[in-house]
Amino acid sequence: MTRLGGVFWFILVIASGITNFLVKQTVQNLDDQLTSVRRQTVAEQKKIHELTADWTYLNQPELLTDLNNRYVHLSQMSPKQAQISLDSIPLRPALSTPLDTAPQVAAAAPPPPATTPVASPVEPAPPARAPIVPVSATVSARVAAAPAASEPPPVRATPPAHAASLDAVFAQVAGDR
Amino acid sequence: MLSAQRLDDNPCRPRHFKPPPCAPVVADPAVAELLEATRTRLLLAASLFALVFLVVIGRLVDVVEVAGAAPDPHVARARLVTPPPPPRADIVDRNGTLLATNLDSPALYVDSKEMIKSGENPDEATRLISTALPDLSPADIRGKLTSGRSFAYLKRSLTPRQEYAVNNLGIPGIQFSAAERRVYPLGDLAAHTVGYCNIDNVGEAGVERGLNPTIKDRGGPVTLALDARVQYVLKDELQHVMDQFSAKGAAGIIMNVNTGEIVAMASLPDFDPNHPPSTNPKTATPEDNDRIFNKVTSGEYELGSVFKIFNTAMALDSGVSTMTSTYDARNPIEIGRFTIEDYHGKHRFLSVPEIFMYSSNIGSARMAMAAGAERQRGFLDRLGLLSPVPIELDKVEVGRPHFPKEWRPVNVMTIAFGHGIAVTPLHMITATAAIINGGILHPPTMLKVPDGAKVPGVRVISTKTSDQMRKLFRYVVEFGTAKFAEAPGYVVGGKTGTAEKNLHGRYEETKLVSSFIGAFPMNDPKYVMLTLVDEPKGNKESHGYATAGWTVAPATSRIIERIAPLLGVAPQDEKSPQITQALQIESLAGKKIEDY
Repeated sequence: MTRLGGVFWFILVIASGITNFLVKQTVQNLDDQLTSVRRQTVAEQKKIHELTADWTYLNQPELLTDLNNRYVHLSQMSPKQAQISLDSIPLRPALSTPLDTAPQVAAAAPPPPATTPVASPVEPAPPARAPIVPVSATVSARVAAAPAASEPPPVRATPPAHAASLDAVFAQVAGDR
Repeated sequence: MLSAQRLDDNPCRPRHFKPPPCAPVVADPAVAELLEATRTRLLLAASLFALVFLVVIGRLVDVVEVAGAAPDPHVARARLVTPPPPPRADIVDRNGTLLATNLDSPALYVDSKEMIKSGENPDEATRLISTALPDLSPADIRGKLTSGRSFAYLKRSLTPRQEYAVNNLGIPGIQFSAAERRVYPLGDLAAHTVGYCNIDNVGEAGVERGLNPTIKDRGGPVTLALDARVQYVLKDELQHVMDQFSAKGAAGIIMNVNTGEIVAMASLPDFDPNHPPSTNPKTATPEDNDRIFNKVTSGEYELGSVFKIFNTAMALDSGVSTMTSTYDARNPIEIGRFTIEDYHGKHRFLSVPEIFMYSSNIGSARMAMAAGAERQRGFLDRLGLLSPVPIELDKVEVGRPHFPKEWRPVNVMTIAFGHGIAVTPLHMITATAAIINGGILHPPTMLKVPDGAKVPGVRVISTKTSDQMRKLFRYVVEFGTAKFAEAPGYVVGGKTGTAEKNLHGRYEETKLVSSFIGAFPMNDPKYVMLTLVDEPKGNKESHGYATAGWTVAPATSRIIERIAPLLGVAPQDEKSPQITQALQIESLAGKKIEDY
């Protein structure tokens, strides 16, 4: 009986020792992982912060204007272009195909707008639309022409006024102080 | 032992007698069995120990030989959970664009004692460092490496890239000391609004100075009312006007009339807050001072005719005049040594809208005289034009209005058209916003007002007067002095002002301050804008004119066309019946309006 008890306690001690060791080890590993992840997070946050500053620097309106003038040639939106409200866009006119003859479709679709958007109070006189078309035409013509001639995009000879990154700013500041 | 005791069975045996050594005689098989079991146990225990030692040896080999180079996470089990809060909060614009932030910029120094002790070759180290930091002179580096002192700065304010490069060299004795630097990624874009910091990270100008305690204590970013895109447009167009008319300077401010938020503020020439000009009185040049000076908040100007806004509002609101009252503007007024004349005289009786539209000095002076000094002074005081504007800036950057101590009749007359009183553009725009927003004066603010927040304000004029003023503003652009300010679709209204500068007590005819206050859309004003140009010179395109109508009014038109889509103001049809009716002055309806 005593012998059996001894064996029992012995096993219990060993088992609890092993369990204790394993649990402690696991906790320690997790703890280390946690610390390292946290450290990484802090490092990443710092990096993101730096990159945000860099991104803002690269997005200076002046620089973007310059880049636009050199490569994209987007022009300013005119009030005429912004004048179209949702209401002034007509629904698609009903089709004059057999589909049109289906009574449900004809009933569901609103009648083809007799009053064209031009008649809406917000919309200006029809000729006002005219400038929009040539603008897009010239843009697409330019885009189409460029690859055909296989010329590089027109690049101004003057180098960009801005340095590639914040380094330049730092350098200047360091020089000042 | 058990068997030995068994052998020693003779109790009379002398104690010193021991039997000679011989093989144990085990008689009892039970005992033999017990012995056997004991041996087995001993073996088991020994092998267990051996196993444990093997594991230990194996682990030792692993740690020392195999994984020795890898960093050990157990070494520094420091609880680094959150980065320390930055010494100054970021400043961002209303859309979250970064305007000011802190970046790590460690300083690089050398402990030459440690370097010498390590046996590093100074020539080799110099070569490595100068490849990483090409802007340092090698001779200088070498001198510092071999100086024998334990501290010498090699370079301050390293960029993250440079820090990485130097760290990679792995030279003993080369150390970094942590430091943070205030960086303004957008450079001079909003220099006067944001301001700048000195080397100790203390705000020296702008919001950085005015809100220094907040910026220091706040964990999160400080959000300004400023919109960087609008700011750019304002600055760009002001620069254009300045170049076009060879002006000395220019200033502009755009305000939300319903909240008092300053959406853009520019004063030219300006500076880059990343390396501000010297403010030391001994070394600063006049140009430096001019660049630092914020014309919008500190510059006090006699703004001229734009003051007729307040004169007219006062007369209408107090009931002294109505929209149909007329005043004699046939002849100049002689008072003391002054002669009050009209720039483009009509030489007849003018009604209140006409006085405003044609910017008649004579008519305005007569209107003011009808109202009286007390009323005029009280009204201007109510609009905040006689005291510094409350705003989130240090008081050194907020101008104090100049006005006569004694309000004599001649002062009443000149103040009616904006002479003899000097206020800042910020005063002007704050008061004008109140005139056209329905009559509520809101204190201006540099900080973003959250959506739906209650904006403090006091009523200064009635809604009816405000309505009438909106119409007058619109008529100035439609028929009066500011036709070039029209931006199709945005129903612009405004008032021009061209004032001669008062230098040493004399008004100089050639030195002008031309300003324009514009607001849009006049049927429901959202934004008001003041643009001002200092000493413009007429050119061929303006037919030699340097007046507001030719200089800043066209700029206002261009600015509005560019910023309205950014600010979410939709264009409307000015010819639509709702708008023409809302902005129609009844007394002028149907009449042919003379050209200015």
